[in-house]
Amino acid sequence: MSRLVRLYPRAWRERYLAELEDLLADRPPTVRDRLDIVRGAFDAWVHPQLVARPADPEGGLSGAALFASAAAVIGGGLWIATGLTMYAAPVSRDLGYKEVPAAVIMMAAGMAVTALAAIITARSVAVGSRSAGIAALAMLAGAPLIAIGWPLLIVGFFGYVLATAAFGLILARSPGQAFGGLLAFAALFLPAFNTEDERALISIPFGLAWIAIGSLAFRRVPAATAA
Amino acid sequence: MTQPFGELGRFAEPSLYILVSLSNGPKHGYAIMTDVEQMTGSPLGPGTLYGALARLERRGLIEALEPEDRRRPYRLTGAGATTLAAQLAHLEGFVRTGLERLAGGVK
Repeated sequence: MSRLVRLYPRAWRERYLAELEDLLADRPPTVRDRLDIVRGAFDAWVHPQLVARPADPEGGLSGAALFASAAAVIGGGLWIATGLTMYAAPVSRDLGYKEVPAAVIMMAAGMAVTALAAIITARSVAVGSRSAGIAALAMLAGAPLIAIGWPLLIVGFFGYVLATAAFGLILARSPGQAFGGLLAFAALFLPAFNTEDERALISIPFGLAWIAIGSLAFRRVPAATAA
Repeated sequence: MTQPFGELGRFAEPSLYILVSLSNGPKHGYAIMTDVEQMTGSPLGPGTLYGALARLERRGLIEALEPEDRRRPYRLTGAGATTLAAQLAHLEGFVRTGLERLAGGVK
């Protein structure tokens, strides 16, 4: 029987294994029960239903929650710094527009770091973990494309924007993660982001959304999946 | 089954049984299982039971209490009681309609 319950995802086992084993001790499983457990394990992988719980109040934030929160705050800070740097930079007399390599590097770093925060959190999202994971990986894929430059820069940027909006919407459906909606909303304005004028400042509300998520929402990464 | 049961798929019926089982007080998994078996005549499988419990807990219709040894009791929440009452009223109307039509005879 222990081999059958091991078919369940680790997070599920950490939450329900003791109860299930206790139940099976009271009522030895029939063949039908064993098949039902296999079916239940498959369901648990396909439709994770774990309740998102705040990090252990006695033990403080879990390692994953702490890392995701820090990454979201740092990534949000990088996005804000990107916008301010581009806004403050002078227009190149030779080129006729602003060219700020340091800001592009900051933006790529902001994309990568926020994507890392999303990847860690996607493992714990109660609703649509698999979809959230795919969205988070798509966010991460955008960062190197930004660093490569034109025209892949555009593909990476808009890929990141769409993936972030999708991740935010998926996150918003999970308990205690309503701030995901704020992230999706802020991402909707990013397509208007432009390095040549005051539209560079559009990255600021987006960065603030990440900081808000890192400060408030990601701290609720369930302990069961944090290890 | 109406919302929120409709979205539970194959777990809709077991979820309703669990809510009814918890309507007269908290129970742990094994007690729910035997109670449902007494009510319906057929047992819930362990995988189905915990799949339904996870869904109900996720939707705030039940909540887990502090474990007693390794057993963790569950109880109905206020939202769970409201949902159960609405669902039972819906089923009652459905049953009444069916019985009235049967009493009227096949035409």
